[in-house]
Amino acid sequence: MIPILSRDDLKLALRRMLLIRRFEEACIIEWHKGNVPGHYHVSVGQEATAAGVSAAMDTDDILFSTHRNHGHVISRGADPGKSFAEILGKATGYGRGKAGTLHGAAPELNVPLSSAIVAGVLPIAIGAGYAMQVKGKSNVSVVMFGDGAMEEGAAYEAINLASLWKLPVLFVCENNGWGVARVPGQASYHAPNLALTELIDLAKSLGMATTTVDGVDLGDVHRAAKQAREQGVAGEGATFIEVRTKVWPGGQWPELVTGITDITRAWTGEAPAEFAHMVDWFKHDDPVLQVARELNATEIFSRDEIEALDAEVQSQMDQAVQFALESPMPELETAFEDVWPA
Amino acid sequence: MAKVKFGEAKIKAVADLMREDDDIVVVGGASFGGLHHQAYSRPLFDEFDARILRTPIAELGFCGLAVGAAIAGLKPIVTIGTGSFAFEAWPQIVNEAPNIRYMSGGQVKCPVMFHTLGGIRLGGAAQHSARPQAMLMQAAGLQVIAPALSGDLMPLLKGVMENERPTFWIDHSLLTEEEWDDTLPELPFGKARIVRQGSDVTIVGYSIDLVRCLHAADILAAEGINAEVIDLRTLAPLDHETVLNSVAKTGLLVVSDECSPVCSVASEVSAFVAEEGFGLLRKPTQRLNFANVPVPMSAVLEEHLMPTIDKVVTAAKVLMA
Amino acid sequence: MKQMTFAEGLSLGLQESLEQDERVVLIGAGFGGLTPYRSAYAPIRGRFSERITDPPIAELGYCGIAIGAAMTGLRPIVAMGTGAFSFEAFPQIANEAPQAYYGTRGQVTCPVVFHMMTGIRGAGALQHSSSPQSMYWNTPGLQLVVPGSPADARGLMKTVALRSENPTIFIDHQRLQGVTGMVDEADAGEIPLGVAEVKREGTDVTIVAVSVMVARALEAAEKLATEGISAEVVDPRTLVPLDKATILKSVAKTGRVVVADESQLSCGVASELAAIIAEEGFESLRAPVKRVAIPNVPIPFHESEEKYITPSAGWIINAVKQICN
Repeated sequence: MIPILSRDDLKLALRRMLLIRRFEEACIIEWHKGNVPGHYHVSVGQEATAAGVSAAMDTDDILFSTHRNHGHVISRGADPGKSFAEILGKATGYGRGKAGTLHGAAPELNVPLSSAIVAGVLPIAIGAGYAMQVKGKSNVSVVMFGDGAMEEGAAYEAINLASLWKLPVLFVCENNGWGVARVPGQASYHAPNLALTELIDLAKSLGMATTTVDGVDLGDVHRAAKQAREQGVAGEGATFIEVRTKVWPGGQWPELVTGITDITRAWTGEAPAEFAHMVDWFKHDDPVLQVARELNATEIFSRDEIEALDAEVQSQMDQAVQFALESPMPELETAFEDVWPA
Repeated sequence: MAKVKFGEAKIKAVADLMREDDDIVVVGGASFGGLHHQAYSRPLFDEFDARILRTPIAELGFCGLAVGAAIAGLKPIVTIGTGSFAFEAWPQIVNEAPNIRYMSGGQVKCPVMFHTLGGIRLGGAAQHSARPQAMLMQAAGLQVIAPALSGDLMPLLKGVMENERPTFWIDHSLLTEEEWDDTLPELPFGKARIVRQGSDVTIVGYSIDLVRCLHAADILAAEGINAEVIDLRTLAPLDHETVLNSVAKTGLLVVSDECSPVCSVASEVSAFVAEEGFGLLRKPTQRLNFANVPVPMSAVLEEHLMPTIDKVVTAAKVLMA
Repeated sequence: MKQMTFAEGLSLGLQESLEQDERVVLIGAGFGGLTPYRSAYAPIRGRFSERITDPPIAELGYCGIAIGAAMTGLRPIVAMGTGAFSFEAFPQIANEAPQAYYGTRGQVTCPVVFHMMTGIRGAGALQHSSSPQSMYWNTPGLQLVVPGSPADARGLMKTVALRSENPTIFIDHQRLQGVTGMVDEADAGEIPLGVAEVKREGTDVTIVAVSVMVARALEAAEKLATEGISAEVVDPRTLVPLDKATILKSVAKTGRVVVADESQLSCGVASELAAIIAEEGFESLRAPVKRVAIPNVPIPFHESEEKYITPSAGWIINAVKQICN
């Protein structure tokens, strides 16, 4: 469905989704060229989650993420050049090369932290909610995490505390089907390592408001996030949102298993010849194509407009990559800086 | 200059700071006083009830909450309880809080202070007697303070509030009833204090061991041995200079530390003296620690294994022989 | 005798342990991490899949399970993955396992092995580059093994998996996986705990090196030899129990010591070894005891900065030169 947003805000959401997609493609391409150090995680297939949640957020709301943070940071308006530079460990990155992909952040945009320890970020995020409650702020703390986090004790504690104290927190659990052990379990949708039948059951049994949404549907995500935000700000407590997205097979050792995204596939719904086997992805599982398709079908944007936007975004991303590649390495002595404020 | 009990001075310092700064909140169920000294914490509850978040038994959860609250503008003091309970929250204390400033390239602050009333408290047995301070010194980016004297409480706590670093406050239940001067000469944050000047032997301690060292120095004085007693005050940052200057003077070093002996605070002091002060020592450093065993319940056994006042006296005498 | 990688040696030791005692079970089997050498461990899953339990991401939970199972008849080896993940299970590892024997007057044993890949691995950044060995050495009741060669990896794993009744921390490292050495497969090759090995004899200076620093120390010694400095490399192989005698014998011989370990400086393994040497080898020392360790900073992401703060063969060489003039 189409989110209830102004035309400008819809365009911004689409722009952000396109930028996330091009960003992740650039990551994979540059990694194959040997330019990206270490192990990284992409959010292809999860763009609507990031964009939908962000579209419901205020600039003073705070967002926390995990090792799979690229999409979240971009969705809050981060400069793709600075974000990409950080992934390459350059001095011009948001973390000045200290953080890398695992700890992507954009502090000036209220994305202060990504923790790469599974579930480590949940207690931290509820703490920001607690601070907002103490200071009487009309804001929420939003934490984006994966279904794997629900396997850790920290998740239980964070959900219990947030529910107990009605903290203004949005728990956004992205269930993308990439549970670490691919053993079929009891859950109705992926989450193979949990004894829960429904992923939201834990939060529900702890008295929290819960909902499950379709992560391919920008409007569904946005509606749930908006409602949860309103409840949080009104003092009605936290909400646990499970967002279900389809497994994108290129995520394990990032590979372009669906090729470079061709936005015109949104109009045809057909897979390119070399990816013919990925029928479902091109027809209805790719959130970027799906959202473009819907915005066009409902005549909010023309195909030309969307294709032009995509070209603009691609160009922006190309420049961001250039910027990052040309950026200097950090000065070695800075390894000893920024340990402490004073 | 009046004398004041450590337990009273502690609560007064926290209360004074909370009055000055609305952003300071207390998170946790242990409220500084542990089971036996809750009477001291009463004034805090009475005045600041709304700023004390009483928590369930969920250390991992509420320590993480404090980290997030600090990022979002508060200055939480987290009373975890006994040192062993810090283990429940270990990922947050050693692998989240200390990293935040560094990984944000200096843009995000995390002014959280974790507090434990730890150590060998007598009768705590194996699981409630942990002394995590040496392990915590491994977590680069985490400040570790250990006030031992009443007059050092306000300066050290204020120093933490001002430098806004994520901090672990090593407190000790056996410090509570000790009485000291309510003010001490000013000393920069991070510098160790020469509490007692002397010229025969250097004795270094911190927290409850500093108190024992001072009592030991009194006994030694009566026997004609003039000990210089140094209070480390902060373990991270650790002041090498004061210790080295003293060792240059005396040539003899005793370090008393309640931690388990291996990779302890005493190990660190002995090591940096061996590295930076080679040639200053006339005899090997005497390290005193709790024995390298889990902590037994029996008081008799515990006493036998602890770095007692008598053991400090003996160690100094061995060096002076 | 066969030239092997550390990964192959450890894999052999694991397979032999699983063969010889049916009580040995694995919780997780992700040895080798993300390194290209991880294929050396594939036979473990191939041959012993029914002895492997793959847990969810719940370290506190599954370490507790391993401890309970060890107390009641099994001999579990827990493949924790990255050393930092052991922090999730800290209450179990540091505050449950070590007390079992002591608290029950020796009636309950806990023969569990916690295997973890520690240290600076390249782009691990702040949260995946922790070196927890120093924290574990500060915990009475935990055995601590730190192999630095393929034969030591094989031999020590067999000893702790098959013979020892104590909870053990087995320190591994991603950058150890490709280290090569000779292994005699015909020999059972079990290595007793508390026996250090002089990996290279020398007369001018003693380098005590632990785990991943062993190979770096040997590299440093090679280089130093070309400059006329004869370095003796002592590998403790196990920190608990510790073979002090071999270390102090070397110190008595050379009078000059560099201690090298890849964890942060304060209250680290290097500090403890330095303190022991300074105190018990006091009469022998002719120079300061130098420590080579990670400075007290978090681990940055960028390759050149990360390298800048990683203790290397070069650091060892510099330290040696400072005390040998």
